[in-house]
Amino acid sequence: MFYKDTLLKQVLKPGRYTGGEYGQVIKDLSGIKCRWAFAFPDTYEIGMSNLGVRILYGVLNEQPDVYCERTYAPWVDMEEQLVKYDLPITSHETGTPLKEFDILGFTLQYELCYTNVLNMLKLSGIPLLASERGEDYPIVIGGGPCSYNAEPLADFFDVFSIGEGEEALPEFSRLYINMKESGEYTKEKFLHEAAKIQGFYVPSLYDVSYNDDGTIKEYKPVYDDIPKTVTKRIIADFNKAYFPDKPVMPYIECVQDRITLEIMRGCIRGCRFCQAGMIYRPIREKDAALLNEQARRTFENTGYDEISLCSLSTSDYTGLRELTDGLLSWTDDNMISLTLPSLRADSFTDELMKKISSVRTSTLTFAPEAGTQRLRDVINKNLTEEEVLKACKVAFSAGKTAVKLYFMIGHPTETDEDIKGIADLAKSVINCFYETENRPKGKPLVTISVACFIPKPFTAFQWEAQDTLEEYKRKQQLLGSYCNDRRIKYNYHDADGSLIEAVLARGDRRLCKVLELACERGMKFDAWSEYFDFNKWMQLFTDCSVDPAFYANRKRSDDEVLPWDVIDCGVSKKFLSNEKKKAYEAKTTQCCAEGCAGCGANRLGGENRWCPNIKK
Amino acid sequence: MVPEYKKIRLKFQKTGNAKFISHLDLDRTMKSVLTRAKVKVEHTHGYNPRPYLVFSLPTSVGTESLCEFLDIKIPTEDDHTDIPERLNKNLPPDIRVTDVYIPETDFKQITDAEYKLVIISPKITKELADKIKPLFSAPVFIEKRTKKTESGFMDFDITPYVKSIDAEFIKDGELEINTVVSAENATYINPEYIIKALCKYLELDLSDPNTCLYTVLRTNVYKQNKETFN
Repeated sequence: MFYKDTLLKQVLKPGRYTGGEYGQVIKDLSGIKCRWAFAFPDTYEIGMSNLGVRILYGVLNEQPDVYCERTYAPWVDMEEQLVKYDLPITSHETGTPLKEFDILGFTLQYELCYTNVLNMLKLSGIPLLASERGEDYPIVIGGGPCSYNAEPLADFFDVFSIGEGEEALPEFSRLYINMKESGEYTKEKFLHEAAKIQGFYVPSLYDVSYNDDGTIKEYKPVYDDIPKTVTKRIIADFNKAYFPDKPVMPYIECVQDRITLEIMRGCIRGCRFCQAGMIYRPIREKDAALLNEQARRTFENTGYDEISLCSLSTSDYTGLRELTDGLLSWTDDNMISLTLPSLRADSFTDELMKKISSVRTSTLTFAPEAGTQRLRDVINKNLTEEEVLKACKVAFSAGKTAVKLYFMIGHPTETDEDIKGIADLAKSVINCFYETENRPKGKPLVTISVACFIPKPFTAFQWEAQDTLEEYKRKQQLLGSYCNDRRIKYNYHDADGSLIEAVLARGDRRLCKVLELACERGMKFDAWSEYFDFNKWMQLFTDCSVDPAFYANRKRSDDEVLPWDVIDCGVSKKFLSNEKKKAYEAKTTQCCAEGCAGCGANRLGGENRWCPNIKK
Repeated sequence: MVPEYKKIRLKFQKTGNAKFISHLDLDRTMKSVLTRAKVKVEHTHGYNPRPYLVFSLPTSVGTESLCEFLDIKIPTEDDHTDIPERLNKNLPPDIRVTDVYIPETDFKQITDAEYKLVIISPKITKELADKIKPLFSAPVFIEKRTKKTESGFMDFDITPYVKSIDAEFIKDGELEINTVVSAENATYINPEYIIKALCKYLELDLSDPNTCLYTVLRTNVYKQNKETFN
């Protein structure tokens, strides 16, 4: 006899592990031909907040013969119990050990969760290396933003799903079921077939060779009938995309406990540091009336009291007025508040302010990202100081005393003048408060939150060197010395973590051994400051003879073969390289609304998009 | 026009997985369930409007209950008799609303709560069970968290708060205890303290999930003169 309750009584927040939430999918296993465990490699509270998981859980469970269950990384106290009693991680719905599933999917949202992925495999008794997993182990598949360059995980995964999964994952499951039923299934044959489907990258089917200087020489497919580069998948018609209107309702409080209404995919802006802005192209919008209906339905199914419009740049959504008017026609009466994250300062108006504060209000945040106009032009933010101040004025006259501004330091071409510019901008916002005639009583508070720039694949800055740690620390202190006003609250991110993230973001397969050793040494929850240990990482690099600077602080040449060249995200390398050149000249590029800049993503197709017609 | 509201009381059970929901999370769950079931409730009138939900005597995480109470205010003209049915359709299976009525009592009138504790452990024998009742005739100390001492713990005598305790030996390895403990605001004690005390005095270790289990179930709450509260 095993008493799960006894185990749960010894951990914090047992609600993380119980399952049984309202809205979870329970299926009769007798009709199931393909069992998925969908793993989120972080805590339950974070995983349950993820829109992508909600979507794919729903999409897979729509298939009558597929059953998808959820699982999350156990917190350290639970891990201790699992190890003590030699228990595996299990799924939430049926309590099945992960080892027993047909397919085990991991969503890869940020690089620092990689150690959690491996730790979850370890705790499930699944061999880390794909090559050591026989037919009895599940197919391990990864997806999400990090899969665009998941080379540091290449040895551990059987396959990666590149791009949007709503159609790809059911297809993948269908292939699995068909091959099992026809009797031709072996893992090897299945992966070979999967590699022929658009959007599936099987790392073991691509050989990598290296030059003497350590750079990559070539990616070579093992078979002739699989593509040389793997093109990402998109949902052509976003109006027809699956929408999770009956999500699982967590018992315990999660990070995002609200209705998330995804209004569009992609971003028209083209900021040069931003990976999401490139990999989610082409831009596709969803019809405002449809969104309103989906929101209403989700509200009736969930009873949430908040709707958050989700996209990379909410104010660029062309139907914003229609949508917000439509929502407000019923949300106020039902005590539902509306939140619009990702608002651009240049589009923030009195009207929007009123709309988001009709029931409850929260702090307003804008992201100038850089302190001076020159640097904002370098990163193609297309935002002026005047526009930032105008937006703050709107907030102040609506009764706000506090605003939050996001910045990054370490952008290419940055000088100390640009650092000072951040503090200057914060001071201008304070002055702006006192210049606002109908300002509220009290003192203003400007919070500046300053992150360290991390060059990411598929951006104009993918070739750039990251600032060294010493340089980051110097710049952080320098900025601190300028923030000598008590009305400015200065927060900055830890530079150490940014270095590790930079290494993993642009890493190649030679980092697999680093991660393997990290897992062996029990490293996990590196996205959590209390568990991230920089010295342990540096020790790993030393022990594996890997130079982190090679990945983080080295400037690449335009013709270098990059680890992610094997993936085609739609946006062309030529466009990115051109954007990089324009960045050096501090020249901006028009956004998609003003005219096509020729990024190349429109060849992937897509309805309701900004792009001009596809040339055939 | 400000609508008029009437107070109604919901009696509900919280068993199975739902025992692991904290009081705060139960509050959130109930809030969304009321919305899903389209039960209109009065909200607070501040900057962050919230529905008025008043719970009686929260259980601690891990405790099951057959008698939880929740008071809400709904518009006077609304019918309340079908509310349990509507809520149950929208609740997770481990929470069930069993009754609804206009309350005649106040939560402050609650004096005691009755619990059924079940202990499963290979160490349970008849002799052990017989030791329990006399145990509470002398002070029984447990370690309790406090801010008053430097160590963060203090010894705390629970006997004054245990109004009755009855141990029933079911079979080797299984013990059932029925106890009534104080539930008044100032003298409320967590029934887990009794488990703690038994572990200490009977030298039981209940942490091994392969052999041991204890469950705590609130079976009744009382007002003065040991009348059932409702």
